[in-house]
Amino acid sequence: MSDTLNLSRRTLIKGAMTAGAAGVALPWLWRPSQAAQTLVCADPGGAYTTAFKEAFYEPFTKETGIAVTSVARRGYPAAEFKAQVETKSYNWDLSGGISADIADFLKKSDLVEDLDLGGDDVAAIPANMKTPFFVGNGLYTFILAYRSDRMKNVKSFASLWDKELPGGRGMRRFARDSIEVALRADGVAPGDDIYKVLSTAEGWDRAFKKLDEIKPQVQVWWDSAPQSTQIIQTGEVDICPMPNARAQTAIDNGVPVAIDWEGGFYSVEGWCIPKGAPKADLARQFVKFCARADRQAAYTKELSNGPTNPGAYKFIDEKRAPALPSFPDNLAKTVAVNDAFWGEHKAKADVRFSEWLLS
Amino acid sequence: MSDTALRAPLPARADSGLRSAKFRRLWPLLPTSIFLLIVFLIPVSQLLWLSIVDAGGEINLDHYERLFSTTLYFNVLKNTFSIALWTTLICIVAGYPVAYLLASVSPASRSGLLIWVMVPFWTSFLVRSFAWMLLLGRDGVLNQWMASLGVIEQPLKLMYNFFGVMVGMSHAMLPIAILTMLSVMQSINPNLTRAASTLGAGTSHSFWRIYFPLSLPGVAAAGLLVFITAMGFFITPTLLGSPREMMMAQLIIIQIEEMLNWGFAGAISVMLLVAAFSIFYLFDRVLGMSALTGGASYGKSRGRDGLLSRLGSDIGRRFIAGISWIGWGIGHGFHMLFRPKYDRPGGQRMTARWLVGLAVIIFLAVPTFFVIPLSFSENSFFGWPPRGFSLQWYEAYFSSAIWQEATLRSVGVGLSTAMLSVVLGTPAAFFLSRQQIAGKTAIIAFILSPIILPHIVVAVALFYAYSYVGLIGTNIGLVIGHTVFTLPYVIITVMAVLKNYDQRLDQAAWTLGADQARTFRYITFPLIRTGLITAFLFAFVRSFDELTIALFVSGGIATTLPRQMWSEALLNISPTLAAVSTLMLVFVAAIILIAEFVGRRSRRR
Amino acid sequence: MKSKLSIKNVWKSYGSVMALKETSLEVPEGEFLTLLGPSGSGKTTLLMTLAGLVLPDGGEIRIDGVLSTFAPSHQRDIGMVFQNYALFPHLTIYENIAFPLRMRRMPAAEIDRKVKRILEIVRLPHVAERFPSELSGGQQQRIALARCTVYQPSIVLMDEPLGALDKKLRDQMQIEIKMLHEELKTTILYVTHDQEEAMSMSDRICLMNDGQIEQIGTPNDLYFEPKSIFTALFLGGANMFPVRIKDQDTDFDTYEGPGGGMIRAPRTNDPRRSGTDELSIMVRPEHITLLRSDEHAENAAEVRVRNSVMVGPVTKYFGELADGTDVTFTQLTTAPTRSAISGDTIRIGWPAARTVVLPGRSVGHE
Repeated sequence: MSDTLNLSRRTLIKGAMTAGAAGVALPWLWRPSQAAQTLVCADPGGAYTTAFKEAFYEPFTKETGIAVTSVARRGYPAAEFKAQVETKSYNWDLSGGISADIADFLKKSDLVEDLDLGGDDVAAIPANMKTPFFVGNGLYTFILAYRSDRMKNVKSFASLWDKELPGGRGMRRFARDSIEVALRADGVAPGDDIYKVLSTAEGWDRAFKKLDEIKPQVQVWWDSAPQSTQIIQTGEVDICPMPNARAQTAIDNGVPVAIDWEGGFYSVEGWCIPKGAPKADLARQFVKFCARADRQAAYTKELSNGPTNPGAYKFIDEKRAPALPSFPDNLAKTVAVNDAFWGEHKAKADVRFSEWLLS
Repeated sequence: MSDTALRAPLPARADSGLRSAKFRRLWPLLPTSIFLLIVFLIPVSQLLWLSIVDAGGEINLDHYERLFSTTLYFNVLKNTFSIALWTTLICIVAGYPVAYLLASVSPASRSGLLIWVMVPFWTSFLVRSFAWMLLLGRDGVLNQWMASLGVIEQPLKLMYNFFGVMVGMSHAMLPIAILTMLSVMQSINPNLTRAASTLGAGTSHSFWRIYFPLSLPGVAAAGLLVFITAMGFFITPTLLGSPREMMMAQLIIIQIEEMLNWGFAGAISVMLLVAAFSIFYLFDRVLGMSALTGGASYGKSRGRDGLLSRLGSDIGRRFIAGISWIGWGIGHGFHMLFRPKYDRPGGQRMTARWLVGLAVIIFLAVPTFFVIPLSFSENSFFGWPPRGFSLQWYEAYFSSAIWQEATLRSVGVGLSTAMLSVVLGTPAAFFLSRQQIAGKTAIIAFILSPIILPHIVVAVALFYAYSYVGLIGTNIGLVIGHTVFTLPYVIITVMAVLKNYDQRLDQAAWTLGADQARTFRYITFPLIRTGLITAFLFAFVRSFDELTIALFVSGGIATTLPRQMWSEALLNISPTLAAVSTLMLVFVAAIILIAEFVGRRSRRR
Repeated sequence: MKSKLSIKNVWKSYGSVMALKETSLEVPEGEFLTLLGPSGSGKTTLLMTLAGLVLPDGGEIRIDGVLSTFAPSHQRDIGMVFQNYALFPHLTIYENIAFPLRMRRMPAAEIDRKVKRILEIVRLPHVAERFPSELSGGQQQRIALARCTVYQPSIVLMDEPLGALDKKLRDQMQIEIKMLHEELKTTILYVTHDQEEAMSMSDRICLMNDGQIEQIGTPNDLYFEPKSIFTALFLGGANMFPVRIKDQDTDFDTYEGPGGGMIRAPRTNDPRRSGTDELSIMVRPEHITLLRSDEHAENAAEVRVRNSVMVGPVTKYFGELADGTDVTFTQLTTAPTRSAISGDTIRIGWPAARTVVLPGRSVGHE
């Protein structure tokens, strides 16, 4: 019943839109369709596009003759996945830069293809950085950044709460990261302990109680990514948790910013293929290509995300390596975020966190 | 025509003649209606429909239950309203003197000042917000100045709070408020205040009792436009505010993007829409929709005698009278304090107007003054003060094919959008401003609804619909998507202009042998050209600065300038953005100046 | 009589355009003075400076002896009727008329009494609660009059108030304004470009041309004794003949007219009238009579009649002298004299006393 309804509505939209569009179509207005042997890869745009182009797209074309077109997508690509899969019209064949938690979520919503990749390169990637439907190619870590010119003796996230340390605080306006940070500061060991605490209602209360303490001190609850770089650069805040790449950008800009890796938590980002994508096999070939150590090394030149293939460090400049999340010293200080846990509790956490922010 | 049909002997034919005449009367509304139906109503309804059905297609109100199971959504709705309301109040209070100033200066000074009023329009909202961050920050320019002057010891918190949000939002919305009020003020017969003056009313009295009440339709229209537009805002509040300034649009976006819970997103959207339409309904009952289009018709609408409207007009009258007396009191007090002498030409009235007007205009232009020096900075980030001198950011722009392509596309899409909106919207505006039909308010509400809904709802709906027909990543897809949002502005603007248009001129042309098309070409069009150009500019600017639709509908392939700026800012807000904004300003200022020059020359001839 | 309004050397320019050259004018109390002139002659600018709506660049304006050159309008105790009435669209008729009284903080009861009385005077007591857009043009006009007279200002300024009305209504309103003037005894300054309107209403007419006063005087003065060709032509139909002075006598001067004919006119002592000066003779059409063959007149000429038009009480004749100079004259339609027929050549004559000599030559044939 609803199917027929849906169908007729679809036909109606389709017919009407085609008719309307055909009337005004000009060569400039209508994009010519893609050539057969090309792969369209979506990425978050900006610096990502530049890095991907250099490390993955162009070398892949050189080797296989298959052109790769880069398109920029939304920061959260789930809606785009959903619309493409449901309408069975694909604007891209795969997407890079997808967080593992989003990949899990996409899988749960049945929006991604299985990859099932063999080969040494993919095998070299640690097990917690890949799934049957997702292959990680970069690590980014949520760390504590602070102004080294204004703050001394910063030790882990607990320093945020330390009243002895003067200076403006910043926090991310995001339930997961704030709760993780709060529990660490409250003395919970990073990793599984956090999720043990959060398995009870008291554990949640504990986290929010800790957040209550810092709430009046927080100058800025940053929301959009570039904002975190901006507030530490301009001195709006002196200490603030943020993704390591954002802090690194400030450092590269010559601002005295230091990164404290201790207790940081990392996520993996990588490749996913929309369910039912016609060129899925070609896309798989590309993902495999990107798992190569030399490719992953090239990719970190532009972005300070860490390669997932440990072999990549053979190709990375010694000075550059310590700034990357998967550099062994850094990796040892940090733990992975439990994406499965957060996938399950995200909705609840978001509402409670928002209510808490408003209260 | 319908007259002869009515008198025809055969009732059946008379009937069909009447019907076809009625249909002919309705045709101007058709292009807009059909357009919005196909690219707005159907796709969006499909999305909203999801809020009341479950996966099996059964009616299910779980989403709505959830909406009211926590106070979050209600609180955020309250927030959204209060932010929109305060923005509206500030825009009207600050915009009114500017509009008044613009309405009273010579046309030449007016177009000069208008460039500055429009300035916020031409700098991307992203750049604007970051410029404000430089100004209002803890170590920002304002705090530094005040500290060095010894006014303050501790830096003031000017941002990441309600104040910051108000600065950002009113800065963004003031141009719309000013232009809308200006269009009404320019239609006020200057003889009326002169008459009041000769009848013994002092400056205060003649302003507060005559000019001010007559300008109220403009205030009402500006208020509604600002209020409705502000309700859909979210980027400015997140960048300049604290989490307390959470807006409904943010919650909708989270549900759409992060949770993929489109049903629940639909439910929140419905909540926002219902609230907005209630406001709209009240507005109509109390002030009358004609206020929106820039001219309340006094004495002609006494048929509407609802309790609400009587109550409303009563309250309204008292309110206006109250304001008038307060305003008069202040003016009178001022007069007593600084008793002007009349032995030399006066000018103190204009001085006050200029002072207030210029203060607001400076407020509008200030962020730009910070953006321009930054674009020449050697700093590789968006920080004050700029260091050294370098053209590298301009080089970065001019040597990048992506930037050029994005610029060209934005201009092309903007022009096409503006053209399409004016072509579709003008007949509808004619119809709505001249015909009296049942359900007119409903039609106007329908036309305005795209502004109220957060762009993301429309963006997702369009993305969904476009996927079927292969419009993703096409320029035409962008043009259609943008037109959904620009059409309401165009229709409102053109309606306001038509209010002042003497229809007898058309009738004169008809009697002189011109058909409808040629009447429009030779009589109507030249006379309303300025209004159409304003509408065109409005549409162009909104399309030029639009991000959300571009993010979805472009599919990442067809990159527009705001899209490219957004993506450029992903890791670092670089001075390239300042360079692009500066170039845009120079470009636009040049166009306006050339247009002014050409206009002046053609007038002289 | 005491001077109600005194203007001394007032001037106004807009950029390089001299809208009003230095002008002086005295208006006695109770006078109906009309500022007459073509558009752009400066009459409206003068009125606006009096109203305080335009500030002059120089000069002095005194109202009731009080220096008010730069005083704001509302402190001048004037009333003004605007071209399109300028009724406040958002106020009812009652409130429109009450407005000036409220501005003067009159008690409510008195306001009510005055408004009702003035509505009676303009014969519109039933429209009090209506809005201006609900009235006809004539009614709006009367309300505008009522509004600017209800508070009995010392001077009422009227800027082409009847311009938008049709002929019949205009005639009727002219009489009403005149009556109102007599009843209220206010001083009225009235701007118009219609010379008939000016003549039928005014005590004095101030004719303006090119930013200055051309001539000021009673309607009769201006009509019968114009001081310039411009005045002569602006006030009504006139025959204009280029002449040269021929002979000067004790009572009359003799001039040589077109085609060598001699014309006699009253003797003047104007020193400019020497033999070489360009002069013109002006005769009003109604002063010309048809002469029988044996009849004599102080001035006479032969005219070939081209055509004639009967306009009710009078018939207008259009003809030309032997050298082609146009001649117009009127006869009472019912006059016992013989009427001329097109193509006839007839003799016309007029008295020397009705012959006006003016300096200059008229440009073209008007």
